[in-house]
Amino acid sequence: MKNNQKEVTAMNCRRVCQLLIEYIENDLPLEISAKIDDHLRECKSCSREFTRIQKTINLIRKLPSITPAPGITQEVMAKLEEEPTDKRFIDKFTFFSKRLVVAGVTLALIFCVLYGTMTLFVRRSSFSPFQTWVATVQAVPFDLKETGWWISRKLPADERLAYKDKYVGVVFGGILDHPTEVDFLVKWIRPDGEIFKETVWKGRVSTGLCSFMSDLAIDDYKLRDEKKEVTEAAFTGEIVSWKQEGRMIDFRGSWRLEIYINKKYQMAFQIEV
Amino acid sequence: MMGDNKDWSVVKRCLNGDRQAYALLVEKYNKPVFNIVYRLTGNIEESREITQETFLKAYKSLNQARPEFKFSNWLFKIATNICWDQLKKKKIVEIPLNNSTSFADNIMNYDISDNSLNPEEELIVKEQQEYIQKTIESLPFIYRRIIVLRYIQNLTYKEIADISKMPMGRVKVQLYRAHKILNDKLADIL
Repeated sequence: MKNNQKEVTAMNCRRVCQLLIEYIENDLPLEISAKIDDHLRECKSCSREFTRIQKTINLIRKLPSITPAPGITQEVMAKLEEEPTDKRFIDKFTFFSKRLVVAGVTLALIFCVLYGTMTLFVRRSSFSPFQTWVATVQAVPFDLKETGWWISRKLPADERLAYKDKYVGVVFGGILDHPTEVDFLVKWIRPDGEIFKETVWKGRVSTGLCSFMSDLAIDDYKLRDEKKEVTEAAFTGEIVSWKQEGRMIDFRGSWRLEIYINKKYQMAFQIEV
Repeated sequence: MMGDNKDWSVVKRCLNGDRQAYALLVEKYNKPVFNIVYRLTGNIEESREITQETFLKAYKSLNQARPEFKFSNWLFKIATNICWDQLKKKKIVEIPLNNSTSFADNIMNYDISDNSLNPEEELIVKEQQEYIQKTIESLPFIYRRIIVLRYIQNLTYKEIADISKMPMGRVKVQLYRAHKILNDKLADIL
């Protein structure tokens, strides 16, 4: 009841637009529908939005049903004929399968614990060719590139993104005592293990302090495939980057940012989304 | 026409060894499965293969199916998961839309359910349908799935939530976002 009261008293355009789909589908309480009726009578912008959504729904609903060419049932049943029919055999196979799965999962868990423990030690050892090395993850409510990566909060490992965060980036770099050919790679790995984004810097870094950043707008859904030649005093080479379709915020859970130098794994950060 | 209880009684027969009974379920559901898969992939041949794979996979997992849910929805869940796996294997590409303005100029003059259209009008309607299909295909998979399940298959939010393994609230949010993207992509014709 309290939530409905909130809906009724605060019926601004943003809220109306969020409810329009349910309104069109008659999926709202009468009181709220009535308020939306009143709002649409007064508001041209929301009224246009209502018309657009309704037209979209109608266009899609009117798409014809496609009839597949006949024979699917026969093809499926023919393939099933090739499967073993002995129930006892299937039961045994299922039984062995389950035990194998349990054994496999147990081994995988042991491996993960060992690997995780080793990582804690490995990631702070060699970062060749750098004399010194630092890496940090930052999350900010604005575009990192526009305002500079040294502002705002820095995420230690395992921190959760905040509601206001719009961009997240990993900044890494160090000091070189001589010009060096480098091959940096940052991988953004989704909670389900799929690589979501990769950025590679390949080229020559000059002596002194150098830093790089790989960032992601958490609400960006577009596919990206970019290559850029860079000629600067600090770095000369190419930056190659790709990103999958989809938004970071649609994949809730533990993301992993892995950093590689010259194809060797260096360290990783974990961000909770 | 078989109701959902009858579907589960056929499943029971299959689990008791009556393999041929499965043909009843394949015959009943191959068209809706095919339609969902086609709207998700846009490819007729691939849709046929995925439809077959759906039924084969479902048969092998019949003992895991749960009678408290609709058998059809369980099939749709398997089908959409296979589509997602197939799309992941190929690199996911956003399919560019044809932005021909002459096409868009004609698009709203005809009702695509009107049976009295002449051949030229029918051609325009067909092009419109293809344009909308391509627009759906250009959506990220999570939005494509929800649009197809809601407006092509007319599933409820609860059913979509069960299939997609997410809370109903998130289904509604995703549908809202899908509409926002569709509004941009279909701006010329809305």
